[in-house]
Order: sequence, then C-alpha cells, then structure tokens
Amino acid sequence: MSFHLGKPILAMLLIVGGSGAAVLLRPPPRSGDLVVWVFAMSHAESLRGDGSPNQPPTLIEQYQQRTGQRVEVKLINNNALNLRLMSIFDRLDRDEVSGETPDLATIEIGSVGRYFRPPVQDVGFLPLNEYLKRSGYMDRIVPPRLATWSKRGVIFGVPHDVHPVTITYRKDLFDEADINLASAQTWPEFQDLCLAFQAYWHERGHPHRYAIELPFAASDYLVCMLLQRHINLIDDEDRIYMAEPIVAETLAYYVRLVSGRRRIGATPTPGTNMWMRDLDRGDICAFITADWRATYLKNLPNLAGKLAMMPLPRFEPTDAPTATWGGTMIGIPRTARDPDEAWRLIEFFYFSPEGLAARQRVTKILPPVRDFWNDPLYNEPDPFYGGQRVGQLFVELGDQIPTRYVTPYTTMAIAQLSQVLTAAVEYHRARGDSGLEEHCQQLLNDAAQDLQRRIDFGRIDE
Amino acid sequence: MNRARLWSFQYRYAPYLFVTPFIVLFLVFLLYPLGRSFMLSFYQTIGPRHQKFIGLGNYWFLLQDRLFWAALGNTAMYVIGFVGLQIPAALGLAMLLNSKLVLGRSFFRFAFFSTHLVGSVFVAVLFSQLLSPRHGLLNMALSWLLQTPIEINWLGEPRLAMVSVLFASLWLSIGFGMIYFLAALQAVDRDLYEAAMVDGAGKWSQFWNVTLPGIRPVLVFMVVVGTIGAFQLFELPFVLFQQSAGPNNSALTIVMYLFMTGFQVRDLGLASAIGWSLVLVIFLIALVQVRISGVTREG
Repeated sequence: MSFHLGKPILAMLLIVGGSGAAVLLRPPPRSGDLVVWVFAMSHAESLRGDGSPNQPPTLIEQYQQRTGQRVEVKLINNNALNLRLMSIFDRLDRDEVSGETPDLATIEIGSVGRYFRPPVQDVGFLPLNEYLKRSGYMDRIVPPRLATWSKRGVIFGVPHDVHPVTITYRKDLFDEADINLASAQTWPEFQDLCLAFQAYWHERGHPHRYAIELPFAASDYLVCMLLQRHINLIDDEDRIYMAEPIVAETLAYYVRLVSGRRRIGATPTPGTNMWMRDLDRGDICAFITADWRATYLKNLPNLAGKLAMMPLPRFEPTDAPTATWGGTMIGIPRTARDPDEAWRLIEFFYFSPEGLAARQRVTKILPPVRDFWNDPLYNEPDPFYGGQRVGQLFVELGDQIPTRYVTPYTTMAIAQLSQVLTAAVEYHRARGDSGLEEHCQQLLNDAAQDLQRRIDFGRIDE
Repeated sequence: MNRARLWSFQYRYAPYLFVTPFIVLFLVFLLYPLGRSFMLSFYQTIGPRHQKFIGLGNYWFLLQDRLFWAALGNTAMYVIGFVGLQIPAALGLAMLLNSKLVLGRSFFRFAFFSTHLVGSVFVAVLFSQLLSPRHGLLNMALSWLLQTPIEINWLGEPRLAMVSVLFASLWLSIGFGMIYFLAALQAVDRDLYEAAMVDGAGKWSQFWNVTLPGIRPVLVFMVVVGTIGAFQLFELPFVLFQQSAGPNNSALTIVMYLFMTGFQVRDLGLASAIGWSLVLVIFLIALVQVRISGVTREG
C-alpha cells in the first residue's frame, strides 16, 4: 500500500479516525435520576462501593431499592469540581443550567470560602436551616461543625465529619527514652518532654530525630493552636482577629517550638503522605493527627502496635484539648431539579444507619451526628494503636471541638499567617527571644491591616 | 445559476469558507475572552452575577498591593536568573554536542532534551523529593561530600525557595534550548570559520566574530521567548510548594497570584487586572529586548 504523504502520516490519520469514530459511537453515559458530585475516592466508595465482588448492596443500590430513584455518583477532581460548580452558579440565568447541575455536591473546607463571597441570598447552595430544623437534625449535629458551613447564620452544607485533632506519637521510641509523653498537660510540659526525648536520641547517633511535626513555614498547626484558644483569624462577619495579643503570644510560642535551642519541631518530607514515612523511619516521632490522618496511618502495617494517641496539650485551662482540621460538606445547589428529593438523599447518606454502615466500611472518621457515636465501632480497642481506644478518644474530643469559621478570605489569612510565621522564625534565628513577641505583634498588625484592605476592597454591599 | 457563474462564485468565496473555521475559533476562544477580560479588569466582581464598574480601581489597588509587588519582584528575579543561566548553558551544551570530538552525540542530545518531555508537574514532584530535607538526594550528596549531616530545607527557606524553582526549571529547559542552538550552529556557514582561521582567528575570536553573529536571530528569539515564558511561570512552583506561595511569599509569581485571586478568592475583575498588567510588563520588556538586539532593523 502506498500513501503519498508517507506511512507515519497515514498511521496518524488512521489513529485519529479510529479514535474519533470510537468517541462518536460510544453509547452516552447512563445518567441517574439524582446526580452527586464528590471529590474524594473514599466518599465515592462509601456511596457506590469499591466494585469488589460479594459485597453487600451499596448505599445507592439500597436507595434505589427503597425509592426507585437511580443515583449517579460522579468522582471529580477537587479543582475541576469547584470550577464547574462555580461556573454553574455564576451563570446569569440559573434556570438555563439546571440540566447540568448536580443534585448534591461535596465541597472541601479549603474550597468552601469562595462560595461564600456573594451576598447570602446569592450563594449558589440552598440554605438548609429549615430542612435541618424540620427533620430534627439541627440539634443532633455537633453545633460548631455547622458554623463552618454557614454564612451569617445561614447553613449551606451538612457536615460530613468532625475531625477532632490529637497527637499520634511513636510510643515505642518515647518508651525507650523512658518518657511518658501523654503525661504532658500543657504545651510547655510537652516541649520539655520532647527536648529530653531528642537529647536522648541525639546522644545515641540520631541527629535527625525530631519530636514532632511542626513546620516553620506553614501555619496549619498554628491555626490548630489558635483554635484551641478559640481564635479564628476571621469570623463569619468578616471581623479580623489576627492582631489580637493572644495570637502574637501563641505565634511567639510556636516560633520557639520550631527554631532556636528549644526547638522540637521539624518540617515533614514534602509530598503526598510522605509524613508517614518520616514517622515510620523515626525521623519525626509525633504528628498532629485528625481522625482522617489516623486512618491513613494504617497503610503502614509495620507501625502496628508502636503508636499511641493523646489529646492536644493546652496553654490555659480554658483552652480546648483539641482543634479541628480539614472537613467536607454536602450541599444542594439552588438550581437542583428537586431539592426535597436531594434532601431525602442527604438524610439517607448521612443520617441513616445504612449510611453509617457504608461509611464505616471505608473509614472510621467520626460522623457529625452525636447519636452515632454510641456505635461499638467507636469504642473498641484498636490493635494498631496498641489496644488504645482511639475511637473513644475522638468521641470525647468531638464534643469539645472549637468553632471554626470559613470565609472567602480565610485562605488568604492563613497564607498571611504562614508568611508572618516565616518572618518571625527568621527574626528568632537572628536575634533570639529578645523582643520576639513585640516583633510578632508588629508583623501581625501589618498582616491584619493588609487583610482588612483586601476585605474592604472586595466587599460588595449586601 | 449557470456553470460559469457557479465557478466564479466558488472562486471568489471559497477562500473565505476555508478560513472561516479559524476565524470563528479565533473570535470565540481568543478575541472574545481577551476583550471580556479587559472589560472585567475595570469591574469589581463576584463572578459574572455581581459587577460594579470601578474604572481603574483594580489597577490602583494593585499599585498599592504588597503581594502584587512581591509577585512581580519574585518573577523578575526568576526571569533574570532563568534567562541569564539558560541561554549560556544551552548554548554551551549545543556547542559541545555539535563537536565531532564528542562520542555518542545523538544519545547525549536526546538525553539532554528528554527532560523537556516529562513536563513541569512531573518535574515539580521529582524535585520535591530530590530537595527533601532529610533524605533528598541533594542533601544526601552534600552530606557525603562534606562528611557531616546536612539538613538544608530547600523548599522551606525563603532565600532558597526561588533558587530551587530555578534549579528545577533549568533542568527542564536547558535541553530544549540546546536543540534550537544546535540547529542554528549547524546553519552557520563553515566557510566563514575557514576564512577566520586563515586570518589567524583563535577559538574565542571565532566564537565571538563568527558563531555569535551567525546564530544571533535564534539567540534573540530564545531570549525573548524565554523571557515571556519565564514571566508566565506557574505550575512548577504551584506544585513544588503544594499550591502555596512558598515560605514568606518567596515563590509567589504573578500568574500564581492571578490564579489565587481569580479562583480562590473568586475576584475575576482583580484577576483580569493582574493579567493585563502582566501583558503590559511582558510587552514592554520584549520591546526593549527587540530594540536593543536590533533584529528588526535587519532586512
């Protein structure tokens, strides 16, 4: 066979023609009566199963058996999900786009702020206060968790989780150093024990062994400490608390944990879940752990029996012994075809015993409905944690989580706090403790001023 | 319509028919978005539903915005470092691999170019591991060389963050530049070298008086295109610093700031103003580069 442009071109044309025909002739994907967009594989698996044989009916199959409604769960990359949903919410005529709108969508805590930028009446999600009141779930969900998904008291999402925070540590290594880390009630006590731990191991040829994961250039854990002290950088009325003296005090304390002669914190290896390798190798021997992180750790079977978990130490007796880190909500877009049916689906997914069982097949993270916490699963000893009842610890802390607000400027505020932290660490390295707290206060004042300017500039009157 | 008129009609309008797909796509996907973003840059926005005309308000905000200036400064430093290192390194490599004295030239050409095939995101993931503080290859090599435990936090220290980005992007792009220079070097007339040698020119003199003038159009092209590309730096630091601006904003680039403003804060008006400011900066710098090089004066 001859082709005047040559065989490579012919081959490419054939490939293009073949793949184009395959795409055109492909049967259209079967759409459900109800469509749910999720961004996490674990969420998708808890709803539609993992496809393995001989499994009990999935949650969506059970829903179909019960109601005759077919549910389609679409797993979409988090960034793509947000872009698509925002573009739907932003269309000028919402009626035109209802055909492509999901009936339910899950949103991650780091993304939800942007949805709250428009005035309350124009937020793309449907207010759920009435649904929650009518169904009685308003009082059964941990109240601080509802605040996270609200703007000015209007609730736009049902929480998927609580995510209380603990510290998970290498009990075997701390025991070998004869240190009982769990005895620390306050952060200063915790720091002293960690310093003794590091000294023990440094003397024995482990110069890279650090007590706890505390990065000096990212403020996630500083935010946790501030939440312990009931401080949000911005509240749901866009009031800024970044320049409060208690923030400067906490920041200065954190700086002393990550730099200088009393340093106990280290930055984990970058990359997805690389922190687990640090823990496995004994490079960093304690980690701030929300319940989702505790689930991940079980992917390292050689850590079984070597770990223990403790509540967060406090600064003051009035502080919470925990914080909350991460989270997901499920919401109903205003343009959903049948919001009442979508709400019934939420009830089945999140509030029914079937929903709880499906979730437990995938993960042990604590659900936000308090009634479910009595389930034996959350009370049994966990062999991975040396028989410790870690589920019970999360239950005890779940009721004490501080309120966490998310606004369109929260991401920016956290980023600014990270910049302030890095600058404060540089100061501490150069000049030590002298004037550190005053310098922190000055840095925070500047950051708060800049944030206020941004909020004022971006504000559209409601 | 008779046959002659039909042919005449076809003759006149067929060209328009052929260019129509391009024109339509150009208008819909390039010109309209450009015009729309230019208009948006004069509005305060919360998505398309809430817009308020504020004239030059977004641009005025940017002039006083320390993050914008930080992003511009970081990007400018990166551009200087990138162009200043990439061009000589790529040219040097091209000259080396153009020499008949090097064995296995084809293999090395492919090997150096192959880094460009993997893409920025992969390189960012790769370098995040290479530069890891405790077990990264670089720190391990330094520890071995200096015979002492080294724990440099390449991605965590503000002074080293952009250096790390530069390091990664040079690794990615030097081979790509080398290919252009190789093609240019092979196009230089060999007779000129022979004439220079007859006139007693040494290696340096040949390089300065024959090679450089011979490859000047490609050199100018590489500088201008390299500058434009470097000003648009985004995905490498975005992945390397896990969607953050790096320690103390040290890896914040203009396009990253645009992305954060448009898609995280959801202020499309301000994001458009950032985009058009970048266009202006790139245009002015490219104009200066082209003027200085004198490439437009040549026939």
